[in-house]
Amino acid sequence: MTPQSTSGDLPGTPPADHRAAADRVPAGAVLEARGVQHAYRRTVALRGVDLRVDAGEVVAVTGPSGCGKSTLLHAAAGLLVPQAGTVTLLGQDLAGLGEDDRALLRRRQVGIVLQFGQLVPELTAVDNVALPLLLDGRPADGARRLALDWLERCGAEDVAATMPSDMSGGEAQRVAVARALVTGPSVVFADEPTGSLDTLAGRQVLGLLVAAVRERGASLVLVTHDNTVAAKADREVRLVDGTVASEAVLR
Amino acid sequence: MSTADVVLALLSRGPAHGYDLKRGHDTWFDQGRPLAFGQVYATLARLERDGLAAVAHTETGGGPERTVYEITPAGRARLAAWVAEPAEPAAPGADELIRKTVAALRLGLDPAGFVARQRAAHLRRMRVLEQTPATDPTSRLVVEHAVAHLDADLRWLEAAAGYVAADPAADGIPRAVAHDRPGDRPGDSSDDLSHDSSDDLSHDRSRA
Repeated sequence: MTPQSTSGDLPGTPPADHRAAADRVPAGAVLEARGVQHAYRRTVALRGVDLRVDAGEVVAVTGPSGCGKSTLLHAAAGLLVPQAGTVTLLGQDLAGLGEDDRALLRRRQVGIVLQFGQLVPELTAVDNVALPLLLDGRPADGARRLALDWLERCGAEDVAATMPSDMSGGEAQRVAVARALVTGPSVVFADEPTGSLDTLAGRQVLGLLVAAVRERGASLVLVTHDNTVAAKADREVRLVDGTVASEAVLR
Repeated sequence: MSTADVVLALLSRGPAHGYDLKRGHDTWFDQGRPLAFGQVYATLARLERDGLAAVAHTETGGGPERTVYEITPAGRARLAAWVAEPAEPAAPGADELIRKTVAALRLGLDPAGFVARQRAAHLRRMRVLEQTPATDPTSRLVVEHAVAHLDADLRWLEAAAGYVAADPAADGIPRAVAHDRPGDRPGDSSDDLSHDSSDDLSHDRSRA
């Protein structure tokens, strides 16, 4: 069989479509970052990093502290515009979007869980979880009902009416996970989601985050220095000193 | 871990027959090798001979006869003494991972590739262990031990690679002791061997 006959066997993909597809996100990729570079005033965080995440994939980005993994997550989630390179998230080139459109994309299709108390301190747990829905103009009673539902699924229904300052670290992180998932995101970014928790609480929060993401067929990017957290992923991308040092399929 | 000690520990919960003890063992050590029936009965016979366990009674239901054993006061004392004595920490270096890592890093045999491959192997194993179902945290006691060890291995691997990367020239072996470099020392090699080793020893001592 000749190479020509092999390509001829593929139906319905004329060459013109091939070229157009190459400019967009490759089939199955929810995130495609290429050549991402970023430096802070005194340090270079990323020296040209590629990161691809497929639909339904759980990817751990690991590495020692200062390796650039948090910067990569912020760039991938559209929280930071890198100084060089491109980030295509859910088919959208983030650099081509204005801040408002980036915020809209994040609110509707992206969930974000950060390490420390990123809950709004003036709001109860249920209002924190309902917030992304309310900001999106959803009716308040429906938003709060959905928020309560997610608090329950995350085992945090007992603190629904509690203010963040009265929650334990594990409770606050469960609420944060509920808030990241309430909009039904296609991709979730989590930066050291268990970093401030003790082993058992961290295990539980991580377990419910991964289970909820897998159940939905969503994608998850886990930034962590913790090997036991990385072991939950389908693939590990290891950063050292702002570059990808190794990649491994764990599945 | 000796099987006899574990069987004593299981018997301390109350009289039991061989099948109970096997099931108890396999529940506690659910990731390990199941306890063979033959080993249970051999162990019970030994415990009985040593006065650590005794036959409580014999059950004759519809099926075959079953002997129920119980722990004796001497058995309880032995169990208490076993638990009171700390387990011997593992000896350093007695591990293929350590041997391989030291060789790969010391000799500079693609250390980055070595670390990446070993890391992937460890993470894959951890991932499998993390997926074993947990009905409650205590059911994972043995799995958690394995996970903690893999994690410790990985952290050590990273630190080791860092130390060697910071001092890449050295395989760490003093040359004069390891082997003669050609042309360093003229003379009859077989005759020199004994002299060399004694010279090197005294040389090392004087340096130390």
